[in-house]
Amino acid sequence: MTQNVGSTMSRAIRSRYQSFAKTFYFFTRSPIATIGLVVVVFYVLVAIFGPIALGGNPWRMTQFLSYRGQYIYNTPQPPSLSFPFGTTFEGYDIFNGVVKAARVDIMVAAIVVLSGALIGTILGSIAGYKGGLTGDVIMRITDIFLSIPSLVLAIAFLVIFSRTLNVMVLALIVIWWPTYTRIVRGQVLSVRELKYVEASVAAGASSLRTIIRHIIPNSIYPIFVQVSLDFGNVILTMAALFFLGVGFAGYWTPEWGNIISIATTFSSGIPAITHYWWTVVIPALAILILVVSLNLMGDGLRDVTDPRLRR
Amino acid sequence: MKEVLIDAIGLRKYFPIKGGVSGRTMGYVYAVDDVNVRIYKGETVGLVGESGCGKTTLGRVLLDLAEPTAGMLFYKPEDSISDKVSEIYKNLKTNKPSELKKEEKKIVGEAKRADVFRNKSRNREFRKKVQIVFQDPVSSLDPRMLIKDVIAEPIIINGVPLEDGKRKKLKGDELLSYMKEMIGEMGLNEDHLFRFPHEFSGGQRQRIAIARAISIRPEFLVLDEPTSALDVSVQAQILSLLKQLQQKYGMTYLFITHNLAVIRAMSDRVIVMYLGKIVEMSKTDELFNTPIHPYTQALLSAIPIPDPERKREILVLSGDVPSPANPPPGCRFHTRCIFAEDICRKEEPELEEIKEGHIVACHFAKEIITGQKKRSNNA
Amino acid sequence: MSSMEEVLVVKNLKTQFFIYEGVVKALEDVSFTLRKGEVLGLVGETGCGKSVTAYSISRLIPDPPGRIVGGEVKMGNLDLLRNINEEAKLVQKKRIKIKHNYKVIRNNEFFFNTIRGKYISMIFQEPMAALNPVYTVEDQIAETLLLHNRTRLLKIMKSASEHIPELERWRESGDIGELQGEIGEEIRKIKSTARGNESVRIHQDLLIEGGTRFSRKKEKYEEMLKKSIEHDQLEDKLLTDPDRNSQQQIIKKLAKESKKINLIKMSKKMKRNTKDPLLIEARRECFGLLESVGIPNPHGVLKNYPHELSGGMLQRVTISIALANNPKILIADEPTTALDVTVQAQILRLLRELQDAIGTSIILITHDLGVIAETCNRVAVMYAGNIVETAEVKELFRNPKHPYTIGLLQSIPRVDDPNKALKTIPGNVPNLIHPPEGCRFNPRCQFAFDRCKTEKPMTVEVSEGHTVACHLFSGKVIPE
Repeated sequence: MTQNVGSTMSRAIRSRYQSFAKTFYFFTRSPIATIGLVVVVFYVLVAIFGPIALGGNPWRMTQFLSYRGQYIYNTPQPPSLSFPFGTTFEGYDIFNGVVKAARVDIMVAAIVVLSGALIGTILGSIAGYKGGLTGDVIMRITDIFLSIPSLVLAIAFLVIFSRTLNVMVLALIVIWWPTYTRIVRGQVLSVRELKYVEASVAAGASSLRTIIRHIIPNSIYPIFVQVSLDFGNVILTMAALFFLGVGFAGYWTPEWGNIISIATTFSSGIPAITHYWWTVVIPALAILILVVSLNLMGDGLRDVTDPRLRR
Repeated sequence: MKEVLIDAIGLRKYFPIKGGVSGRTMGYVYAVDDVNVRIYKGETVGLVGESGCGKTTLGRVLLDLAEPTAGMLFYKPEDSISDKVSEIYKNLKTNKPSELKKEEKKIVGEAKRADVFRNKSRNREFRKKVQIVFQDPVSSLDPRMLIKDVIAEPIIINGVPLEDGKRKKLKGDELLSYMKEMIGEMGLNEDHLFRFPHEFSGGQRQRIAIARAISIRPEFLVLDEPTSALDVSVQAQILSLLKQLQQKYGMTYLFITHNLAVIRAMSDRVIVMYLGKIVEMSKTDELFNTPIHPYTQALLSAIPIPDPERKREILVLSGDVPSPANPPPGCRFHTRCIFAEDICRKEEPELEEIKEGHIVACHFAKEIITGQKKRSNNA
Repeated sequence: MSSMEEVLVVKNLKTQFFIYEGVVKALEDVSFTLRKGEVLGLVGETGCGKSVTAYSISRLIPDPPGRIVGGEVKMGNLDLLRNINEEAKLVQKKRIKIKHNYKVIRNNEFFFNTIRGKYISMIFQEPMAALNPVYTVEDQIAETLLLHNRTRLLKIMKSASEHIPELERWRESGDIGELQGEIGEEIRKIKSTARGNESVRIHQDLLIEGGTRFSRKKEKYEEMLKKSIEHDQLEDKLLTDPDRNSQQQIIKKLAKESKKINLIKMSKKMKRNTKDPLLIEARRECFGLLESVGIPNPHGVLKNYPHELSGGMLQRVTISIALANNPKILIADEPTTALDVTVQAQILRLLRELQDAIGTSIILITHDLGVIAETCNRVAVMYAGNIVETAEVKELFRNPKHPYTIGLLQSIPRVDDPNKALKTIPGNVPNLIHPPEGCRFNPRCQFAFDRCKTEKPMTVEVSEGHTVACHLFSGKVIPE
């Protein structure tokens, strides 16, 4: 009998794997989405292994070099062999900074997007399935949050509490959850009408069971797409906050926006972009490439999850 | 005397039409309007009508899948209760939901305790005894579930009845072997348990949906157009499967369809609905041989018969079914009826037993039987 | 019967769909003929290819994933599938020479736009989906008239402009003698179809107004008429010319000539410019068409949007669009499946009446043998991408030969015969990615023998006009 259960498990897994393989095949049929995926995977690898491989921090590197007698303090140095991406003001090693920032940015974006999606899924499915007063209350609160410009909301949050990374993560979650709530509710409203949901109710399933077993699995796919598209947006918003100086929590936070912010803060009137282009362009490129790839990947995902576009 | 399984009295289901910015209720769609249905154990009742006549809604209300606006539903009731309640509902002549609710409050506790809609423990008991099979085999199975999970769901929730009347919730291997037996009975093989719904054809999906429905051995099964989306050769397979299952498990069927030929092949008794009302109700043979209500007559004559050499007069109705949100006053069929006269436009006909077991709602039922009624001018 | 003119000859039509799971061999080898003025029923189960056949004939198969792989569809001397190979190659090499390809594909597009709607038109299962929700009924009927039937509209206007005094007398006194030319024919038509004086009045007003407008800018419109007649002659030549190369020349010419007709512009013009006689006449035709399909209050319905009408009404509108240009062939793809039985009876009766009046040949696709029995002259039964049996309707129901047809007939529940035991065909429709070898019906056939599993049966004629594709009738084995 145990063998029977084993084969049951493996047969179930095989079925699930086959359907995944089909989705993946359709995804890879689009070369652009595949390129996006490859770049994103590269970034994630850098974020995981880069800081371990590099060691040190952007500042320590400078100190080490000054000890050897090279005067690099304060004036940005163009890319060279010892500093592949050059340095910015205060002797900050851009290469080291950009690599470490990958971990911070991706982690923050992941936390923000996933918690936003989680909150959104829970609230959205309750609002959509239950409807009535509960649904109305949830949706009105969502509307209030959506009606405040997101950047203003985040700045207010950071100013009121403290300007640390943790608070910034919190502020970004506050900005992001309402979008997901809306998307999930819309999906749930359409899934709710399908016959298999009614069949589950007819079988005596409780609301909770119906939501968890039927509603959420069938309405969550647009969320995956939204997550992949929002990932880039979170990074952009965070960079904007750092650039504005609101996220200024000391230079020790390696963050792409922060590196640009250093260049503009310390340039004392000299336009950094014309005199020291690498201090701005390189971190900006790091953001740009990731955000574009995420968007390409998201588009590809949307195409494969929408059966109408499958060919 | 046959045992009454389900007795629904004064069922009404009005869907509010919301409009305007504030979502105010602008009016109602009278989907089911004052319907009494009594279903006996072991029989198959056919429910027939055109789209929008409320047959599906009635099916859903009978399973408590949609909350009724008014009415009571008894499961295996005692005669005294249902007689008393039907007397009360006969006197309700309003169609405003708020007034209906007020009137219903006056009904005494004894009836309420037996009512499936209002008594929770009754409801729970009822749930385990009824199931439904839907029309659309595509949307009735969760696309992200394996077939084994689809079929297992009702068993996990409700358990399976044992011989001593108790219910047992199956688990693990026991559940799997039960499901294998089940699916074999449906003409599928056990390998199918590990596939997704989209890998099956329409007929196979409908077999799976039937397997899910009867997995908990229900006493009462509502079949909501189970073969409408299927081809004729597959339809025949499903119909004979349903007949076999009924014999084996002694189930009672409510067979909802627009296809009169299927009704004739399947059911013992037929209910004809038009715009939320029952217009005719009788034994199957009786209804097909001597239809009385003009609507039933038109419906019967409109079915294309697969025999090119058979010459017959087709009674083509003019116009379309009126909107159930704004049903015509008086007899709801008078706008399309060939016999309509002034009384039909003013007064609503009551359901009357014209012959034994043949109930019709038409002012001229008797004249139609005897052939005295002539076509009126407005046809 | 075989002496009747054949309007459409389909030979060895083969269509496939290329999808992830493999190649769906949707049509294996479909051949049939459609005769003038008959209703040919195409019956079969879901996935048997009856709709694919219709779409292949009118070249509406979406590519990708579908493609017509081979065969011939002849309308007169013209092969409608004349350029499938050319097109298939282009789709494969899409990225290479875009500019050249664009020209060829555009030519083909123009070619089919001349055929579709004018010579072949279609009615679909879902009337709501077949009509554009943002245009009124009038816009949509007028669109097809203005695209394909300008000659006729202008001729009537010209003829009306020459008979304005008579027309006015008609309006005054309600009495008109026999007139010559197009206008006389129109008046006869109006007299026979119009319901009531009010409707005749609308016709009269529009005719007089159009005629007056026409005579005011006579030169301009006569020039237009001349061009339109030339265009029509070219199209007629395309159908009758036996030579492939000269056909190609005509197609090129037509494509060049018909500059993009902007439908949106035309519809806007329709609303604003009430002075163009062409549009006035189109409006009158729309009115007449809706009357002829039995819509009560056609004047009001013309201004309605599709969502304001019921399913039965919408199907009448799509029928009027399909028949607006008196097409040679009408393909009705499950026209009554989405409707209720009482409405279905209305629509089927209407189709029969219109067919008697116009003489169009109809291909009626349905899965309902009852509809076939009551509407068709001849039936072709399809199974898994093949036509398995063709016969006169009475012959088929009285004397079915193919085991599938027999099974199909036995599995229908009958209202008129309750005691008939329902028989079933065991098994399911085969997967067309891996269809069975030999006869595609062999796994479900109770008479199947060895030969059925290896060899595809030829179509043989068992009696006059009755053909079957089954080894039982190939001459070697005779069934009990």
